[in-house]
Amino acid sequence: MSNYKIIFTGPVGAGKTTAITSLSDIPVIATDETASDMTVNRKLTTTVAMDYGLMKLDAGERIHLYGTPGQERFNFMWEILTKGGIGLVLMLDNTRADPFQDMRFFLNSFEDFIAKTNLAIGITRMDLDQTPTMAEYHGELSKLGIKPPIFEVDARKRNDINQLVEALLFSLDPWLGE
Amino acid sequence: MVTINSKLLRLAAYGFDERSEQGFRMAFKGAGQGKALLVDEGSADFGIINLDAANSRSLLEEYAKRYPGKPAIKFSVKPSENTDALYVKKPASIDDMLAAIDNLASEIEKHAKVAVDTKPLSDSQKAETKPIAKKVNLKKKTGLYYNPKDYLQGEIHSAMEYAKTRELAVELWLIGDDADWKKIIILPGIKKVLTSVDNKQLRTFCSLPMSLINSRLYKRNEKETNIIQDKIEKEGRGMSFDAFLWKVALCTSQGRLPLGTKLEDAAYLKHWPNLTRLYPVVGSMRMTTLMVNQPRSLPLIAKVLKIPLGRVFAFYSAAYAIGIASGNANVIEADSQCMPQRHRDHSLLGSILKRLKKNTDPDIEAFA
Repeated sequence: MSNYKIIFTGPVGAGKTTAITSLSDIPVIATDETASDMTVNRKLTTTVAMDYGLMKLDAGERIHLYGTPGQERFNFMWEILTKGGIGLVLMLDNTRADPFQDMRFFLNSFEDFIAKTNLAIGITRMDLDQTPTMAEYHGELSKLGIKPPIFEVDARKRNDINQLVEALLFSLDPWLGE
Repeated sequence: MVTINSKLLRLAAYGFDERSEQGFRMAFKGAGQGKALLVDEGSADFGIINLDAANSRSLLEEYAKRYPGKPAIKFSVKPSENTDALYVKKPASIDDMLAAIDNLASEIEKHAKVAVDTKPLSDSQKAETKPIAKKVNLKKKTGLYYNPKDYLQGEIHSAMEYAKTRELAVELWLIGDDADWKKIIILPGIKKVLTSVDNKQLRTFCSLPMSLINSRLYKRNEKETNIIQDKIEKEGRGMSFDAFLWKVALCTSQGRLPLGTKLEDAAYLKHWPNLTRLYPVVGSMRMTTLMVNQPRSLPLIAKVLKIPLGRVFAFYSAAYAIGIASGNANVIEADSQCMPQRHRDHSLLGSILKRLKKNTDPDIEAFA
């Protein structure tokens, strides 16, 4: 039986755990702890190891959904986590101080993985802060020379997360669903 | 007040000079009001052909090729060789022309009745009916191109430009079938549109030439603009400019391309549309994947993805309306035809996709 992964990454509070919850067929194993560092300014608990969810497919195959911890000090885990991954979902929180800096940081951190697979970006909390705009995100990505799918999402809405992952899949293979 | 008339014939003139075309326009606005409208070729359902034009033969051939089986009103100084009810002898009076339009309308109606007859047919009737039904389909817009400026789409676009330039709210009022005013309120400060037009009404408004819609445009002053924008922002209501324009373009396009698009050019998208916040189009992600990294011709995209050409055109029209689609004439054909490979885990990715689709809420209405 094949075991594949989809990796969710992004800064603290961007909605990775919520996104995995909306896709998973099992209760998500979230290793949340009371935040004790700068994170406490954004949320009361945060993921300190990883989130884990599972999608069960018709043929008995399983897709593991891994969420990386948001803090940079856990980045030693990221390379291990991405092994066997089919693609990366980057979640960004539009209310953070500098979402572009977050974006550049994660794109840089996962550069090798993205080059081997593909990427989709979800921007959360745009209803609370409309800047940067989607056009500005496209401009920033254009400077980096990439044109991945990038959507405004509400991590609590299953359809939004489904579409984000669908876009990742179609970027990998436009001949799906023929 | 001009009323909305679904039986109105949209005619394009072929081989006439500007003066004659102006004559048609005046006649349609006067005695022929509610019967016909002179529109550009891209928006027309039928044609009026000048048989005395120097290139009349090629005009007829082109018309027959472009609109197979479609009748046309023909003007000529020579007497008709047969008893063609759609023939008008020059010099033509307004009555002659209106009679020809009536004949065209009754011919279409006759064919349409045959086409919608639901009684079981004998084999001989089927053989007779089928080609006629194929000939006339009143619901579907024909022609390859449409001019957004002739429709509500153009009006909304202009109103948005005005609102953005002046930083003032603009309200577009449209009168609906129920004689109630429907409003489209454009709020440039928060880049939102507020509307009381539902999807069904929007489709109707978008399918009609703007000249047939009774509309009013109101411009709000700075104080009023600020009050409305503050209220809407606090309430979190409204639709983004792009989301509204996208939907309007889909409803207007009806499988046609905006005028000025060159079919022979490769089309491309500057970036992915924000699909989670746009009216869904079946196949939009697959089309985007092929258009975002490499310009490709629209017919080629329709062919390789097995998506109806009309839907590809509608998708392109919507993307064009929000400013992310464009044509590129300088694309090497070999590049355009070079397609991405299937993923080595094609089957697995297909299974994931199937699982995602199963879990998508079914109440999402997609433009197919």
